[in-house]
Amino acid sequence: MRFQTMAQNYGEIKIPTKVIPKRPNGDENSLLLDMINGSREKEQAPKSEDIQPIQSPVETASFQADSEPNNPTTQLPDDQLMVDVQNLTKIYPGDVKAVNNINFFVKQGEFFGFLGPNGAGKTTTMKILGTLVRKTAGTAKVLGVDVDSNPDFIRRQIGFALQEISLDHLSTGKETLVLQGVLHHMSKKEAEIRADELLELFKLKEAAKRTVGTYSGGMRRRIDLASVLVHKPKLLFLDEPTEGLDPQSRQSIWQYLKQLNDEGVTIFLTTHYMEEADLLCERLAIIDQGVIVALDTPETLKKSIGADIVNLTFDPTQGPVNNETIKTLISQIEDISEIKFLDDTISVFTQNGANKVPAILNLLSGEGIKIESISVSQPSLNDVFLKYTGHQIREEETKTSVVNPMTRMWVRGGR
Amino acid sequence: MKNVITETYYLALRSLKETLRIPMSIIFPILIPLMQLLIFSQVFKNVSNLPGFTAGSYLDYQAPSIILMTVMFSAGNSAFAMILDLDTGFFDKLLLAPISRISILLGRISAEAIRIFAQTIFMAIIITVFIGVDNKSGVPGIVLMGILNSLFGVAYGGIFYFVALKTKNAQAAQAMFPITFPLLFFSTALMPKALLPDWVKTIVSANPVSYIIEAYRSLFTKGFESGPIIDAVTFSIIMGIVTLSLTWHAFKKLVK
Repeated sequence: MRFQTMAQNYGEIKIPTKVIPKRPNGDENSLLLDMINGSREKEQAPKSEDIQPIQSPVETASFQADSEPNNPTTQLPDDQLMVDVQNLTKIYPGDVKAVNNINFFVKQGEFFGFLGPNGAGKTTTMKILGTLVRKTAGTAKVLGVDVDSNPDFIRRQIGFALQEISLDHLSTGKETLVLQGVLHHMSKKEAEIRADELLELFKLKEAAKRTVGTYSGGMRRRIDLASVLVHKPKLLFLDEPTEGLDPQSRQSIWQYLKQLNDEGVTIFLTTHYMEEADLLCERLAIIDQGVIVALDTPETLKKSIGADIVNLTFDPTQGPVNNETIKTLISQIEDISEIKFLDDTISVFTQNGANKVPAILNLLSGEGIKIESISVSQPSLNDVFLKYTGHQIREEETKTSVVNPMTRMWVRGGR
Repeated sequence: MKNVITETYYLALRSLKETLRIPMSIIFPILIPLMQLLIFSQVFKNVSNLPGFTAGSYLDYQAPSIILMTVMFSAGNSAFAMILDLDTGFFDKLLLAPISRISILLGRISAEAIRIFAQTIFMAIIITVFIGVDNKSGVPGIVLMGILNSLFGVAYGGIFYFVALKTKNAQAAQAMFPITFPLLFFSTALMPKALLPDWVKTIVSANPVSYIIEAYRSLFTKGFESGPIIDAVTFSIIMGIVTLSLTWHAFKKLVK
């Protein structure tokens, strides 16, 4: 029964007003608080506080009030924000500033991303929001609740996939999922039904009875992702969910994530793959050295580069072309911001690149220069990253891509 | 409270399944003490001729200490498994679940108690039925030995938990293993107190291990006598309070 209640509410959570008529006890105070606190928590996950019968509206109200003693800021407008971070700072022992005064929010139903190299502060931020790491300063609210004031509430509502696939290698696929379910206070039966559903969805049905230690990298990623979905969280934190996967597995993970987001799950993801950020995220924060350097939709970010790129190559049968001649020729056209030569290709940075193509072709053929190919491309997130941070994301990546277990422990020790 | 019990139950179940999937972790703690029994009972065979040696044969004398060795030789296993969880990140996954932090520790410790109980029963059956050591206390005595061994095992395992959680390093905890030997040798495990030098007698009297072994010895040779059993329980509980408070302290620091 509990499972059904949860499934119904799962769809409703996007629109809080719908929750109101369905509350079993019509107490107005508790309704309001329910909207803030998430209506399913009382029905689905009884905690030690509500061992008393919950039928009485008075007791319900007092329980709710107790669970949120001094949190007057969790008012209705905030409810639209799944994540609200203000001036967040994290300093690890040894004066390591992992996160430096960042601000951002994630709206309901949004697919939000952090793009940055390893060591940029992505994981730390996410772990603070997931209640695994304590912040040093600033405010961080998840589902309207401060991460320090009521971590258990947040843990019940969110799903968090850690960067390092964190599985018990001696458990089978199904056991892994069922354990997550029962630890989220589902009954064993509910957890088993849900586990079967997820095994089916993630195409792991055949491997359900094998221990996870025998799984391939892609399968481990899938079972790990499935394990954070068992309790149907409305907010997902995914720390580099496709790290180390082959392109095919990556694509299938992307598909699952898109599907989840379409079903109304808010997703906050970190990545250092440009393609992933571009494809999935509705809004994107570029984070480097603990600071958010840019935050917008991928399209707007790319437009901020302010130019398209027209790439030209020349027919080799006519012999080498004179770069300077071409530069002088093309510079006659309006709005050309830059012309770059790379190997045999000439890249022309300009506004509305497509509109400039006829002019370029006319000028060059007028001089008798034969063109082999011409293409117009839009700036990539790579260009965006370069513009805002002054360096390539890839350079960083190769330097620090090996996750040192000691670093992880040290991070944990610093909580 | 109800939640803690449910959570502990599921986490203990997981730990037990894990143990069963590494059969060596069950077989070795049984095999090695049996080997000891075989070696010592032969090497020290003539010790039984010494004046002041009361037991019939050295084999009979040593059997109770073998019961205890089963737990001492595998005492750190559960602590090492928790460090493995830390290393794989599974520990973080448990922290991300809306569960009481204490359930994580209780799950492991209760699984450990169950494992020790089963191993002890198995060991006692081998010793009495197959090796033929006389056991005056019968089946109830064997069950009692299982319970006492679990109690002592959890208390003794606390030392390994404390070091493991404090250092977050399985090797550091493993390096603690040799404390088993002075604890065994400076007890009545291998030699009756009467035959020991005076200064050693003092240590033996202060060593909790002596009292556990004497309780088992009394169960084997005399049947149910309350004195040694109460001593064993008392010493295990005192030891447990010390080691488990240290463990809890280190654990809290780890998850805070």
